[in-house]
Amino acid sequence: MSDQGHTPQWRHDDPPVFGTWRRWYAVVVAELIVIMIAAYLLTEAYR
Amino acid sequence: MSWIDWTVLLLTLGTLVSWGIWKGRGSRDVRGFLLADRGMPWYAVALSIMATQASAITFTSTPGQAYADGLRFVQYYFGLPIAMVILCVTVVPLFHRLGVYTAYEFLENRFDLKTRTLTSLMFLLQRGLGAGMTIYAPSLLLSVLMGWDIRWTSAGIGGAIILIMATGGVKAVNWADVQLFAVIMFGMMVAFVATFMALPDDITVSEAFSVAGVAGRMNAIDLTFDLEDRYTLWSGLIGGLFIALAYFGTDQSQVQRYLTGASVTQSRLGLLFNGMAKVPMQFFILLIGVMVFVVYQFERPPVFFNPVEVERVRSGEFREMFESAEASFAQAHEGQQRAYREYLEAERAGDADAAVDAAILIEQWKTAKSSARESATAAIVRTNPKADPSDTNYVFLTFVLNYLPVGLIGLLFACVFAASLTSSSGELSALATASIVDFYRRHWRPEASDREVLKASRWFMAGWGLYAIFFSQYAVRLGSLIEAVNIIGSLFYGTLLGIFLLAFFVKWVGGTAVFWSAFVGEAAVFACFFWTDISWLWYNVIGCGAVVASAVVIQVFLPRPNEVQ
Repeated sequence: MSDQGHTPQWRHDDPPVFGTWRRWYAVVVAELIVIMIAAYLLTEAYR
Repeated sequence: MSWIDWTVLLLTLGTLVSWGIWKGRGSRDVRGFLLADRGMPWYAVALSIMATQASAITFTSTPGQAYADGLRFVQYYFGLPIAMVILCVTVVPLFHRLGVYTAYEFLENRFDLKTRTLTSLMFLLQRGLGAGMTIYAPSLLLSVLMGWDIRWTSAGIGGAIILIMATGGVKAVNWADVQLFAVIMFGMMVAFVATFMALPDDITVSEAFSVAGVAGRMNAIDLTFDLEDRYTLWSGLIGGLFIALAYFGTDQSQVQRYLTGASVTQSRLGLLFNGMAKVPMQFFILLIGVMVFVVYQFERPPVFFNPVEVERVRSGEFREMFESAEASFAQAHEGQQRAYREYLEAERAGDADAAVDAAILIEQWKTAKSSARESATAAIVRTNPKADPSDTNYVFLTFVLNYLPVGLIGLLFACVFAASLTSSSGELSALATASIVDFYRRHWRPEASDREVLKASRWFMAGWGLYAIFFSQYAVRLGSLIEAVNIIGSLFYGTLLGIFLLAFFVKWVGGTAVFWSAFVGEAAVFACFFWTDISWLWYNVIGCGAVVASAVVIQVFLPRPNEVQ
């Protein structure tokens, strides 16, 4: 059954180019947080 | 537009189209035609994903959106990077491992044929409407530029897209995307610089932001929680996450982009790059709109930005009403401009009280301008009851025509048309793929040879192209196209996402429960659409929640899937 996709298994069998996938994901989320903070400061500065 | 602009426009478009067709000439079998032989490097996947979204609608309508409503639309994109991470962990490796052509093939393995067919049909329905609006945007621009009938311009643009698709397939779209995207971004940067050049000499960049701020256009973050407020941090993070998960995880037009990745790694990197670049890119495009707004606080804008409708009202019976509104608008604009200068003077002198007084004056003149605009719009609608009362989509076009140097105007319009070609062909390609794999080969001609399927693919692309051209004729009166296209998507995405979530995470729910829950989800979303003021971003959450909840309840009354087997 699982081979047909009934119970998907999340695998990380392809190595990332640099570092680990977790590090990549953390970078994406961290960038979002920085942008949100910057946008908030911009909003407050010109309110 | 001058002959130089026309030459630049035609040369740019001609080169891109021929190059795309030449690059795609090797696609002969179905796998190569539809999935580009799964050989795309990550940067091609990433740029292709971004360029597919960066449609003509984005580039014509997004600056206009910021002009009218400020930066707050950027919050809509905050859920996207999180969605990219979730999809990289879950969907990408799964789809690659299963070797599927469409996201909906997976649903038949997991549930049954009827669920797959229904889901694919929902995709075809909403994406077909979306493709119509994608074609409508540049057709409208061409119609305004040339004064031609919209029916002819949309037929021309639709025909060009069909030609590219029928001769090249996905390879032509993907590889042309990369070049187009570079041209588009260059064009937007030129427009950004042009906004600063168009500011009065005595206004600094910081003062320009102050003007935007006092006019309420620097509203990038809104922390209030209100379901009826369209764009807040919460609707962006939560609703935006759901819509991005649905769009990139279940919409074939996007899934097909990263299925062309050479490996899981290439697809993942493509999506993550999109996650990192999308928000800054949209912020930048919205900022251009805000700067255009500031320019038009010092340079008098037209009272209504759609020149075709203005021309019509001037030669109609409501001419006097329109011209009177125009005069009031001009007077209010002069007053508001003086108030802005008083505000800036007060800021420079550090006089807070004078700044507050000036800000109150600015608000009063703004009300006077709005009232004059309403009167002008009323004259336009009385002259032509079919006219769109919103002119948001024409703001950026008007700015480009009036403020950019000769030659660059042609280049930017080439960007708009190129963006339209790439996103429309991406959409048509996805529509054809879903039609072939989920209907033609599954229901009608299972024994069809690759040659027959390839031929049918081309026919489906042409058919969907015609459907899109047909719908584009009716895509009037929708206001801001960037909002309209997302609202149409949101009517279906919540349900689609709910179905896929059930497929991935709730093993004990079977096809029949999911099939009927899809109707419950759609009923919930359409009820919100017709009878409530809930912001469209929340439709994705509501639809998804209704599908998951109702499927679980329905399944309780049905035999478990493994018991049936």
